[in-house]
Amino acid sequence: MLRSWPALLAWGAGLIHLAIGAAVARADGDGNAIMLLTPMLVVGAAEIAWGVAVLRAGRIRGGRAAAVGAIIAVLMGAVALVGGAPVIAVGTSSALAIASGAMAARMREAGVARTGKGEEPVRASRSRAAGVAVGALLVAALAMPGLAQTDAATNGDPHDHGVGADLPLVDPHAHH
Amino acid sequence: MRSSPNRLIAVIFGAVYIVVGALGFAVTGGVSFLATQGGMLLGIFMVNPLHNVAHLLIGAALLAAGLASTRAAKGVNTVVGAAYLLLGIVGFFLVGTAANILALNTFDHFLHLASALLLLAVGLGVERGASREAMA
Repeated sequence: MLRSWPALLAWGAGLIHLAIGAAVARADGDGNAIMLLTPMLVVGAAEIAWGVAVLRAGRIRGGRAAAVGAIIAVLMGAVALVGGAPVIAVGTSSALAIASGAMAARMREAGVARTGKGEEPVRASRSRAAGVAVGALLVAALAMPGLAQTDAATNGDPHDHGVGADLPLVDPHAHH
Repeated sequence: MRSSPNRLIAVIFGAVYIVVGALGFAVTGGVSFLATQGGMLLGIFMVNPLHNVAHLLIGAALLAAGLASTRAAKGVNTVVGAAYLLLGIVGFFLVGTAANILALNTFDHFLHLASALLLLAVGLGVERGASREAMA
């Protein structure tokens, strides 16, 4: 039932990383901001691509590499935090990335990953479908508060008064 | 139909999006077709007429596919989920710009991303043998 969760958790982390990195569009040539934010876009895109690959294959792909990637994502989140990225967004994305990497590595070691060949029993198929649906809803619920704290979200809020446009990384309301 | 998660999700989401698209026209009277600031649906989701039409078309596609076959539902779930994921991500860069022709706001992004996660996950990860069976 939990087989698809590493992919879904990676999607959640990837979306938040992309939302944090999206502030690069409003960096106005600020070299430091661009240097901090561009890697977040790369990490986010990689996490989403890995999630798609895992779901398509029906098995964990590159379990150990995924765990290493999760650690890299957390370290980059910490750097972005120093640069003023919202704490809740970085914390949530880090937690999702670590959970995804840990589950992927654990499943790989435990041999839970299927080969993706042959017929799946009806009961297993239903359990898998329920796992996918519950996982997707859970990740959406976990990722949204983090997304809401990012500059990308606050710039779309009519009550934001344009704060995010002045400071590419910082949402001054994020910590209150 | 009830035995196929893809068909079930397609029918439910299709029906909901058709209702949302129809309700949207109730709050977009006087709003131009491509306005970047639209009416507020349920007080939180911003929509304009183009956004409403998109909801109706997507809802119709999902509903038709869900009623037709597992293979069709799986395909449409995947395509719509991918499109919503792309829209949600691109939306991060469009907010507050003149290119925001769907009048997207923060809550729209959240709804689109939540829909994308569920549709794409079910489309890609469930009933993977459906396409092969249909081809055979």
